Amino acid sequence: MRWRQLLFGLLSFLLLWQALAWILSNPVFPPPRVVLSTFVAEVANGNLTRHFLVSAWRVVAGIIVALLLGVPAGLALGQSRRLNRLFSPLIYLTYPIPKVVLLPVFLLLLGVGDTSKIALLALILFFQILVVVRDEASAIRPELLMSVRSLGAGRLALFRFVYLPATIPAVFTALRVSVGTAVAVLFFTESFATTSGLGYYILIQSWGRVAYPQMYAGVVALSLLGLILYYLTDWLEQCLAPWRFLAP
Amino acid sequence: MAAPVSLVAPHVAVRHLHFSYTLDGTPVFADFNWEVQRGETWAIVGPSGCGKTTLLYILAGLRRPDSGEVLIGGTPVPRPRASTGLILQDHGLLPWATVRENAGLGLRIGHFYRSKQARRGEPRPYPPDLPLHVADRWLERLGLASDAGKYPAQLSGGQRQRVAIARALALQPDLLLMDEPFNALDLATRTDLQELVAALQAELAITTILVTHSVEEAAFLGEQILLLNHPPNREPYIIANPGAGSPAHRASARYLDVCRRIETQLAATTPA
Repeated sequence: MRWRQLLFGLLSFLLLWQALAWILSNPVFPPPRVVLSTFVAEVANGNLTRHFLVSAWRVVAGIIVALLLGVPAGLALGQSRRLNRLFSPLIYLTYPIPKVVLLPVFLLLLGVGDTSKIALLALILFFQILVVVRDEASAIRPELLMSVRSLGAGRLALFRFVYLPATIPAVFTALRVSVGTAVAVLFFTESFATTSGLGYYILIQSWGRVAYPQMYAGVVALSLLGLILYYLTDWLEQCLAPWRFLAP
Repeated sequence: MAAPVSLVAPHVAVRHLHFSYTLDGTPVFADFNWEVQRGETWAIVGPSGCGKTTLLYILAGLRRPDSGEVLIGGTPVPRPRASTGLILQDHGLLPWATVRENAGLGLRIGHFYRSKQARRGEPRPYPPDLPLHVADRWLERLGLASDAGKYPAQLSGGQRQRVAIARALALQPDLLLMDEPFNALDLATRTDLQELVAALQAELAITTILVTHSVEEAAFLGEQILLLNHPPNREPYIIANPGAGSPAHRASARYLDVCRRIETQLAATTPA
């Protein structure tokens, strides 16, 4: 059922693309056949594959750093009202700031290599993960906490047996929401002062050289990256939070 | 071995208890005294807001008295003790853990702390060091063996409450506290679980204190019934109810008499 839906979605997408290409009939908008053959060729000669892997590494590293910092911070704020009171004004103020604009600062401070890109990605995802995990942790029913405390659980055991597992689904919700953002930010960070990554491939190697089919092959690769991350999130959630997928 | 005095000392002693939720408001308990002997089954009954749940939480170590003392086995309870089983109306099962994991939760917490203690050595009243199959045995005993791999969301309300009971009993408690445990259940399941509690009590002789607002439940299960009323509670009003918990009790004249006495007493002190 899911596979048939996926196939149907893909087919309608390709049809729409083809139709648009016919209507526009402009080299700026090549039909899917041209783009896909370029994509295959570029993957085969290793050029696109290299940029794809560089981008994948950056975005995955950014997600992992954001998780490693955001989950513990969210847990800490979620279970301590005092900590939350102390930090929530700061988070409230900084959360809506579009952190992408800090890219120049990151480039100046951390250099033009991978570090600045990963750091910016991690910063943006960190806030999303922190807020969702914090809200989930503070929404745990007091009856549940009292029951577990009555079994002899102190702060440490509550973390291990209640707060941590309770927030796993929240982490995945945050991830699913932020994968799209992450890929978009990645594209932006790779758009200048770099020589690798899909952003570079699309903007500098292809667009800059008026190689439109190549440019679209890059777009396909970037979309695939987002799609793979999205499916990976789904799959991990099913492995780590199976109780969320129970038949009613 | 315990000193001979512990044979006569009450299992639960509440002495000069003062408790209020606000600094200036009416206290829930004012100089309240109450004793429970080892192995007794008590029901605490009263209208909502009378403080019955508060009293239970104080006994569980989840709330601290303003003054006075609460002793269990002669020691105060500044924090929950693992040998007190607590069963709430909200069964308190972890939704992300299977029935087996939930039933073994107390034991797993014990193992968790002992493995930490090896490194740090902070003294804590750990749950007892028992293998996890102790919990499995209770699941089996309570008819849940075939559900061990399920999650709480896949169980009926009655089954969830059985898992909560198994989880408490796996820690070999000497005191069982229950807060309206069967409230959310349908009548048949309720009766079923009341009889289960009575049977377990007859077999294990664990001191049991059950908070309920159901007069029938109090009269069926409570060998002693503590009536609380609108705060402040000063004097315990106690109705003795020998024979409670036995299957024939529901049909006895004493049961009906106790029901009537509880109702009369509650009505007499309820402000019109």
